[in-house]
Amino acid sequence: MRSFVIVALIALFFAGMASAQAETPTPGGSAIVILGSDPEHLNAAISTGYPIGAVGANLYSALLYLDADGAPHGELAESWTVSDDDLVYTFTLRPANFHDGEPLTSADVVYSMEEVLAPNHGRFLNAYRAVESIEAPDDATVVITLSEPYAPLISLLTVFDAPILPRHVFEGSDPLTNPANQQPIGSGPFRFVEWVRGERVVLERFDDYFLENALLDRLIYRIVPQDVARGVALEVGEADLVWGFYMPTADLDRLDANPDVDVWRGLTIPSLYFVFVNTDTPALSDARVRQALMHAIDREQIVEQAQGGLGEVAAGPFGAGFGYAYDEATDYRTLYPYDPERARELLADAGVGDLSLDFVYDSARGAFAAAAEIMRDNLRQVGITLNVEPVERSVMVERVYGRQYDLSMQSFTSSGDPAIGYHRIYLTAEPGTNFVNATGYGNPEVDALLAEAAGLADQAARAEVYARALEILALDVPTLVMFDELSTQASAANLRGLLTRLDQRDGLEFAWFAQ
Amino acid sequence: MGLSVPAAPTAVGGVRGFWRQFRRHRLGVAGLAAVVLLGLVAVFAPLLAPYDPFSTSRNAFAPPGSPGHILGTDHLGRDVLSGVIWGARVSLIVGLAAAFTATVIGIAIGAVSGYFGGWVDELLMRITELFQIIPRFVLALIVVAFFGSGLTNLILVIGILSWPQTARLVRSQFLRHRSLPYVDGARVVGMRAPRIIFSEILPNVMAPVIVVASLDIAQAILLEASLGFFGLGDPNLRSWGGMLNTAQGFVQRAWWMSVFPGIAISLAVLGFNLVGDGLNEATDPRLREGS
Amino acid sequence: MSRARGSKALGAFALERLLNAVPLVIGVIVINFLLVSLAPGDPVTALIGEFPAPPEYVERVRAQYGLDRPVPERMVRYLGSVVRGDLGFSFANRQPVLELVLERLGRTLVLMISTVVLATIVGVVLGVWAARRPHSGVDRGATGFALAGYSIPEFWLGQILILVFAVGLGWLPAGGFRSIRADYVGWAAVVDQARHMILPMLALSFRYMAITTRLTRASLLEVMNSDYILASRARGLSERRVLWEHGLRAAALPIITVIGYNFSFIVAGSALVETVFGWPGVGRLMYDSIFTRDYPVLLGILLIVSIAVILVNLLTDVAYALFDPRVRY
Repeated sequence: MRSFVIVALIALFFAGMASAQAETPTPGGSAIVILGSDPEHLNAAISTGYPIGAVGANLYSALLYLDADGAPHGELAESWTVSDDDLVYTFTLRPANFHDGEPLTSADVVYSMEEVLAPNHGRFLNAYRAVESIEAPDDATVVITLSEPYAPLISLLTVFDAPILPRHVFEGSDPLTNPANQQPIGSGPFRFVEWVRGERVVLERFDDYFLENALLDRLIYRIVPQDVARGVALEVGEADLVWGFYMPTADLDRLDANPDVDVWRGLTIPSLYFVFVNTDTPALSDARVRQALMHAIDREQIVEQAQGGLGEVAAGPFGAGFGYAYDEATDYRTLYPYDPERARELLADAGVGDLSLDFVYDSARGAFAAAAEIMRDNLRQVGITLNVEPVERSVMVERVYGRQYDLSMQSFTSSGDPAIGYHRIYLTAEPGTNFVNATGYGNPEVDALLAEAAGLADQAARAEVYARALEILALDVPTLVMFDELSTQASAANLRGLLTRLDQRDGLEFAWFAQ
Repeated sequence: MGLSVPAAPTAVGGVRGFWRQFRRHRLGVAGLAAVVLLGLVAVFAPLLAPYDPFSTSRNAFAPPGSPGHILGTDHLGRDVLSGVIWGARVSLIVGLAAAFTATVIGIAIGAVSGYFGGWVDELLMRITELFQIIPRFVLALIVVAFFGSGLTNLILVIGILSWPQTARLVRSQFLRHRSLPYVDGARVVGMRAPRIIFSEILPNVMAPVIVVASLDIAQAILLEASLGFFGLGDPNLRSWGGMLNTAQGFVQRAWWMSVFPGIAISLAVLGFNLVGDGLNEATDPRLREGS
Repeated sequence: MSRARGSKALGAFALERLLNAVPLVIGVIVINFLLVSLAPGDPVTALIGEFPAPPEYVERVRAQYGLDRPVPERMVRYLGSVVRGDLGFSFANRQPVLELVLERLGRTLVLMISTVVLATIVGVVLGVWAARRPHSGVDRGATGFALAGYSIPEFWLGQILILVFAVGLGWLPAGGFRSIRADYVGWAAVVDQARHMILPMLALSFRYMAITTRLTRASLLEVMNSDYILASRARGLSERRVLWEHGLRAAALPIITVIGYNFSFIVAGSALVETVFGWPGVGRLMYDSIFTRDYPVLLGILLIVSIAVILVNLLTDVAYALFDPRVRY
């Protein structure tokens, strides 16, 4: 009897050892990551494109990174301090080398930010407006001085918004046409090997990385343009990782049932989908008509069918990502339930009948087409004819931001801070500037409240200011807020160490294959 | 065709004689049946379709044979059969209108070119060649992507890119006819060129033109479906190509979304091709050399 | 006509045709250029990316790519650079257009050439088979196949092939150019690539198989009743030899013609099929470029394809002339 117990204990001990061993990251192997299209080039400092970011995140490094919960940590920066007036940020750099062996110093940081990022990178440009100066007092120190407090700055110093380029390669050339855009040199955990257009981009582990070396030998980005083939590639072992951005939602249920594939769903970087309403259109200038539209559109059906269940009906104009920018009192789900009867009443109140609206969207966005079909059917129930106009992207931009439309579906993200991506949608703007307020809605009170919120570092204080803005926006509804998109990811079951950063594309140096 | 024939050559021996000829071609008759069926479905779509083609429901991905949905439903719970039925309308309208446009342009250019000859002919044939060299589908794709894919645009683009074959055919016929005695006779009595072209020569060369036109319809239907497959159909109409475009994302989950519209396209194209063949054999087979 | 004189005349004929092609190519460039430049929508938007750019930045980018110049001036400049062999710089890819297209061209050619070869072999065999016994079951089958093949859209056929052979049976890959996981070398790499090519090749070749089958059958039936075939038969040659050697030689001409003049349709078909199967060729580059508004790439592709069509037509004419001494040139 006793010997049995001992044997059992020994067996348990070994079983425990074995499982502990299985969880110890082992280096080696090549992971195949799916991209839906070729990156346009590989200079992450001059573009905000998704595939460029996907490769760039592992090829370049930046001052900071955001962990899976969105909290900032130092990457190139060993530490940083912020002055009491929230105007001076001082970063101390770690010793680091570029992939060509040259050291990375504060001069590279200053050069990258001032000469390449500020003129060419969309999101960094927003932060740069608040910047007074960027200085390098010595090789290991960078000082960023702001002209006014700007809370989102920290979220904009990551590899997606401020990757550091080698000054010695770029200086004196046009950063837009430098050959290094095709053969990039970064300082991240992986270095560039080859790029066969239309087929793959290959990176390999950089053994002189300034933090802990990556585990994988190689990172292969495989370009699979037809979305049906991506899930299949995972199933047959021709791929190890597909991000939700490239994953057809229709395939996820099938992949769920496959023991060799892990499917993950969650809210990391909230992407918010809404319909812009052009308030210059006479019928749509009446807030009651916009409220009627909110009641008429079945957002649940859109989430279920157009979005394949990968979303949550949105609660308000800033989405689900930021607790301090949400107020239960103005929750759109309770304010505007699906209610065609109420919609008809509101339309009748406003004296609007027989309305025909042009619904404009970017023809390359397939999911918009499905949502448009549901809205067409929904709006028909309340007597509104939807004339669907998918147009080529640059035409969409001209139409929408030139306010030549009635309704337009759009999706925005606001990585790390609502002030980065969402404020501009509601701030008063002149027609003609792209990617700002396209609804023609303008309210000085909202403008003032949002400006105040952007300067407040304290979240409780910000919540109060936002609540006041939300109250106004909930009644004016310049945008019909639809849903927050759930992020997803499907990966080979033996690929571990994923999702270590806020953005799925980042942090693949921690990925490894279980035996 | 002998050049010594003094009278105007009669292309076909009247409608009844022509039908007798056509009837012998069994496949042609089958094609005609398919085309007539397509026409009936298109005309009576509102009566035949069990649902509104745009009507969505929570009953998505119902397989064929589900209650109320013989051909199943798509990802938005729309009835596939109703989509296929209404799609017949789009295909037929685009096919007929585009082929008509192409035929009118082709006749105009071919007739002027063949009748007048000389530098006019040289220039027009150069333009024709130009249109034959640029791949039709590629150009159509670019034009529709940039200028919009409404029904009128689709018809115009397909029509404008499809005339060269008709033009060459008409030109060769006119070259042959313009020196025939009956045309000379018309000139001698002082008939003016437009009248000679339209009331004297044209009726005599219409038979092969009609053959080409019916094949053009098939090609136009195919081209519209291809554009629709690329997401460039009329967004406010349900078309077969458009249905195939959405089906792409659901090939594994809902095969019926791609199978039925595809069969519909193939049958429609086959129908017009067979009719074209039948007409070709029923009219003088030697006219085939025209193109 | 002596051999020397014949080849000289043929050379002159080819040269004349080439010279005639020059205004055609210029015409192609002008039409394409106007079309692309007059389209609504601003290419600068695609160049800038998704952020609120200040107007002076927009103007800087516009000037940088020469888009601030009037259309006629841009067209003349473009023509000038094309003459120098420079097809411009891709907006979206930030790479010379010629480099970009040439990189993809090889893969498209592999697909197209193997399609033509497959379609010709299968089509001729089927056609001969059908012609041997007109109105038999085989003949009806071949005719039916030819009719179906001519009517089924290749992109739909591609979808169905994926559904059956990749998804259902799991025999062949659903798309792509080669396996990425296993870095095959040598013979294994060839086999791997061939496996990826089977389905797109089938989808693309169906229509040309159909055309070739039909045409082979028709020309053979015509030829088999001609005097010299009757003479061959009278000389006691076996029916099989008569058919394959004499019949086919006579039928070769129309077959070549059909393949040659259908070249631009093969180009269009390959654009569709490449998209369905994710074949990284020129067709897909074109499709991507439409949505990124990459004018220079679109113009470059249209130009290269048009020149290819002109050359193939020319080659077809030359082949026609070589095979058929009756043709005067």
